[in-house]
Amino acid sequence: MLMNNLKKNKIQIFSILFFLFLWQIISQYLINDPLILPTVSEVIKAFFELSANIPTDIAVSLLHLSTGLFFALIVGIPIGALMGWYGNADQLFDPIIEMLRPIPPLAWIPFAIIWFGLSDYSAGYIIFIGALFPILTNTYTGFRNTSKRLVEAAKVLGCKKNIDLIRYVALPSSFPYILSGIRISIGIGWMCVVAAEMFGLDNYGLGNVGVGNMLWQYYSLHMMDRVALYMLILGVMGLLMDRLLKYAETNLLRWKKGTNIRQI
Amino acid sequence: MYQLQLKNLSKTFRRNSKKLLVLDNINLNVKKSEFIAIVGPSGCGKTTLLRIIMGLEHPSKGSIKLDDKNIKEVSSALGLVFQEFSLFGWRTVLENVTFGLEMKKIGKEEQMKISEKYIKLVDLEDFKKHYPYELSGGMKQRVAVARALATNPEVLLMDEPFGALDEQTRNTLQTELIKIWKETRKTIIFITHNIEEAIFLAQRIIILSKTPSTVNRIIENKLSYPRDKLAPDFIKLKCDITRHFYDDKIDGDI
Amino acid sequence: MKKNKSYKYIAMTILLIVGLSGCTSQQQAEEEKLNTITIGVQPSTHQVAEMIAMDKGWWDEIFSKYGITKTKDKLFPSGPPEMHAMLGGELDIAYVGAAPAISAISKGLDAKIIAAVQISGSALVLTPELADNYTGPNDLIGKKIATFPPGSIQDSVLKHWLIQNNINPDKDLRIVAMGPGDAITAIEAEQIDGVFLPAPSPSKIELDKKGKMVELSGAMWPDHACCVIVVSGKLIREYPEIVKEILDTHIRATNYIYSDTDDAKKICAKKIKLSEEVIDYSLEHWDGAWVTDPRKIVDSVLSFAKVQYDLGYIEKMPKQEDLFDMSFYNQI
Repeated sequence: MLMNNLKKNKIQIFSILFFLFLWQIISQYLINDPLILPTVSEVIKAFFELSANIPTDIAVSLLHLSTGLFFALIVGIPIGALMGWYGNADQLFDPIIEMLRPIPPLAWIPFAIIWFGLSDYSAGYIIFIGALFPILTNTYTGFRNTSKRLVEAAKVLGCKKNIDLIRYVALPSSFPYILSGIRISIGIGWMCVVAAEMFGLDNYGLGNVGVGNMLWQYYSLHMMDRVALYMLILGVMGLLMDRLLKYAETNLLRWKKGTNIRQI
Repeated sequence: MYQLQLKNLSKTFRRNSKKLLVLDNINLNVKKSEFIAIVGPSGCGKTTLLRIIMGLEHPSKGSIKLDDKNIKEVSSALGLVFQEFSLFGWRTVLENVTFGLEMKKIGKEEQMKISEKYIKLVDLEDFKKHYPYELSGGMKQRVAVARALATNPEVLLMDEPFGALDEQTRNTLQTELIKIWKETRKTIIFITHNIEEAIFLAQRIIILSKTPSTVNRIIENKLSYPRDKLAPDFIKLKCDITRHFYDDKIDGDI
Repeated sequence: MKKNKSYKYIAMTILLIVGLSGCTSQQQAEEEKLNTITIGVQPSTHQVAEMIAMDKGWWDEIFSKYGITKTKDKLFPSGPPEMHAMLGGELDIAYVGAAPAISAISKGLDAKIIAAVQISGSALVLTPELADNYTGPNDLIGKKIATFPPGSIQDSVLKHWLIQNNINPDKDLRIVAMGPGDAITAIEAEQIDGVFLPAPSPSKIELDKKGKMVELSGAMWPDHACCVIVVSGKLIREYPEIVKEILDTHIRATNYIYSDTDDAKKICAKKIKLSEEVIDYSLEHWDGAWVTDPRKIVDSVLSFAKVQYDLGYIEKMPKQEDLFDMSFYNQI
């Protein structure tokens, strides 16, 4: 089974290995300065030095991500649904949303600190801002794209009230869009972890932990191999989460119109 | 006497401050368990008429009575089968058929019983756990029929239900439909632009003119079931009606 | 077609390699000719000597003699980002805490300390309620304190003091890293229990009635070294005459602080963008002193190195020759 998977993904695996190889060659022979570019071996060494801390750091950052994502879901989906279903709601919310959306999560840090203090909640808030808009927009699009035919089919079968139509038709019909929005939101939310954890914060009473937090700590100490290590951790975790969600999308959405092109 | 009565039904659409009269004083009476077909050139308003009867649109003038009671909005006494893309893709065949029953808040066990009966009626027992994307066009339409019948409407409206299917499948389903009609004794109002299909299925054929459409002719079809499309009297009737379209300057494609 | 693709990949790889090797580090910047001097400085009363020299044009005076057309200074919130910029080749001279200098030099910064700037001068400030009930370091257990990032003087002094009082800086309280502006905002917005910052920030907080000083850094670590002047190795090796002049100017400016204190305060207030009242108050309530002789701070600086070594911030203990270049001061 493993061999099969390896064989199927051999181009992807080769790509990663080649990248690592190139990095090692460039950093070791061309640049030869651990400040400008630590070598792969130095980063691996840092990994073994810090391996006891890394699972905790990842767990804490994932907790921050989950907090932000959770609130993005409970705010974004209802608002997106309302805007997608009711024209008035769309006109009401749209200008505000379009004004808030371009503000980068980083810019919210001063207010986040004032509102939530230096806590895991201010970190969660920054991630919430990053994760909110993809979910909201995708839910909106999903609802907008609900087939009128299906709505009428439901009405004809006795599903008449708006709330029921939303529940029985619009929501399930929009599910592929929402799921796609969640995948994007997780990606963006994860990118905000570094900004969100800039001030250390509470970290669930565990002290100095968190991928973003440690990245800033090691930056202050000019320990670039460790900075690179945490950057890689961010990247690899992001990749894993994306792949996991793609897998979930494929499996949960088999019913989606037409077949997946890859399956042909 | 009559189950469904349409009186002076008119419909005007407003588009960009222009008014378009689509239906002009349609009068029609339908008896219980009758199978009628409505034919006419495309764009003549057949679908609009059906949607008004169903309650998805409101008439600009006139009334609709079901069992002598005015109906103004979607009623569970009526069912509708669309031409295509009307199945809920995220629900299995069985779940599609139970949908109307869920809306009626019928108990789970009862839902299963009724649904399985109609799934059997349309010959899709083996596929009840399948999703629409796994079904052929003909199978999907069968599900649509079962779904519409499950809520036990008195009148079944069908909007060119076989129009998107190939001839082979269409023929099969037409025969099945007659079988279902005989078994369930529902009143069926069937819209099509296919004259042959109308003659095969209906006891009465209502011919609409082009917009603003009125009832041009009503033809009684006394041929006995099951009908044979290649029989001489069938073909004669088909020629009659077809010629009517050329002669009476109905215009437009059928 | 396949051949074309391979050539494209090779070309991209070559571009990538060439691009990366174009990145300059501080070492590689050596090849460039010297016509600008950049001085790193922090918005603190500790470094008012630099501000006086800049304000009065003394830097320009000496540098222009050597064909340097532009002198500018860059403000940094604290030492670690300042040293990070110097590692990136941004600065020729830096007024910075000894601790960040140690940290950077141990990571390969080609520079040396040539003079002292100031000793002590930081303070622990707590919110008014906590301050009124303050009895000692144990009161900090379970609290949230903001100070400069790891590797800074403040971070080192605070952590060392806590450890000496049997308090674990990681487990027993929360130390959060921030620059002075953010830390002041945090304590004034009551998001944090206390700050440990260099002057004049503690005074600003006291004048705003948002906190009270409970410990002076000199009490936590007597006469600890604080700011120093770090000069790039390139300047030391290729332009020692300039370095001598830098030292002279620094001594001149430091003397000026004592001789013309009022003017010094004005210049400081203008540069830091705080009112003169705050600067006044700060100088009355701090335990700092401006100095110049690097020989007098060697022991203190090496103890900072030990603290950093114990905290795991540096890998091995530096020797005096690694950190200091006394040759210039010895000429005076």
